[in-house]
Amino acid sequence: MATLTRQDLNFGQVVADILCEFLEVAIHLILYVREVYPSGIFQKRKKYNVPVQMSCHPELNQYIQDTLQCVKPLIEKNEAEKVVVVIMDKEHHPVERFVFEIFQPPLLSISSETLLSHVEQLLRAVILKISVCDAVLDNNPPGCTFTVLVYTRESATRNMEKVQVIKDFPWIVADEQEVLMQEPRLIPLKTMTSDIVKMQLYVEERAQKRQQNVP
Amino acid sequence: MDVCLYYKSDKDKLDDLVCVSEKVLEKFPHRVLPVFTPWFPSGTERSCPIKPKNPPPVILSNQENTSECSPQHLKWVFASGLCTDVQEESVVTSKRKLITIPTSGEQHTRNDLENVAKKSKRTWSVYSPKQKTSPRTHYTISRQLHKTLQKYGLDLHQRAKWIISELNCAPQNIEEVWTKISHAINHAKLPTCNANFQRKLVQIWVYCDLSYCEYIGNFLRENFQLSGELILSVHNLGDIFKL
Repeated sequence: MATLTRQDLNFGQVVADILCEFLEVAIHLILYVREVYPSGIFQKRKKYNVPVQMSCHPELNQYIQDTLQCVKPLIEKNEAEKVVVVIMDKEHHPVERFVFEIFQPPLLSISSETLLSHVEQLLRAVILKISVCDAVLDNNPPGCTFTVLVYTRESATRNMEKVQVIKDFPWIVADEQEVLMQEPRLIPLKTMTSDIVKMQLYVEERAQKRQQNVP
Repeated sequence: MDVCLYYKSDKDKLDDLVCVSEKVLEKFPHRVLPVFTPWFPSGTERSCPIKPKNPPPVILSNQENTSECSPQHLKWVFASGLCTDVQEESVVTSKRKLITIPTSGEQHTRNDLENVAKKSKRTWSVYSPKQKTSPRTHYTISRQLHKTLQKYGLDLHQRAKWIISELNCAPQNIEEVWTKISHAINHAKLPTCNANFQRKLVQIWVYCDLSYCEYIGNFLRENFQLSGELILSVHNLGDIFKL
């Protein structure tokens, strides 16, 4: 078994490619499962050898792609700590937060578990968990929308320039209102451990979804 | 509250003891501590995540209110038939892009949609999942239309579109007419038809075979109380007929 640093073989880029591809699938699936958008805009596709739902709405797809394209450099440099898909009610208070916590080991041990096929197996398990998560979550109020938050390891403002990859897709520091959730219920969904990346997915769910949070 | 004081039998000091006890029972003076604000960065800024400034698009199903047009019955499609097309009908409402679609469904073939003008913005269209033609196989066409078809060398199976503008709908709202047309197509009342609401142009385009076009035109006019001239347009030729 050989041990390499992250700079060797440009592993950062490989991990960013894999994770961004996964996050795209995951975001589409979350939006479908949690009924943020009408089910009619979704089509069944196959990814990681399992059926997934993907939006066929160009504007939504573009939005997700743009978001992830901006997140990619942060993942590549191991500066993204968490990527959170926040589902918000009409008043823009979070009702659910799908938290993807990412950890990339500084030293990489090359083994059979590093193979892409093995990583994809692990990602498949996460996807399957998302597809059935509605069983453990309460229904969301109507008229929900979503946003993607990125928690960085360093100061958010220091990373602001790094995410401004697309000219017409600016990033801002999130409002506290969109971040804080009153008395959230924690629902662990899945963890995965591979040589190149570790990830855990959990959901923070607002206790009273039908009521507006009053801080 | 009663307070009992137990003391050793020393009568001289009784007054002192009572005085001391009263003082002990007095409330301690207290003050509200100011909120601690460190002079160094608190870490709040670090913990605040970043997010895209632009909100995601909002997609609504505009026929949810009518029970007749439930998602099980209607299908929506991209008018161009391609999901990747950047052209999209959108209306900006209070900083957020609002896109309305008739309802859910599957993808549609491109054949019915080839007459969509490339310059116009794409919108959603409706067609019946169980497209049935009427038992009447022969629809008579007027001599005038027959001459027009001959003049342009058009086949009866070629597609054409009726253009319904806002003026045709008055005093109704064009949205109301669109709902009725969607319903009619869904229930196979308009043979060979599929329809397309060009919100950018404020027009409804009803596509049909030329063999049915006069029947469709009259049906539209009579059943949806349309007024004024309805224009029949054919791809590459433009307006060829008026009703």
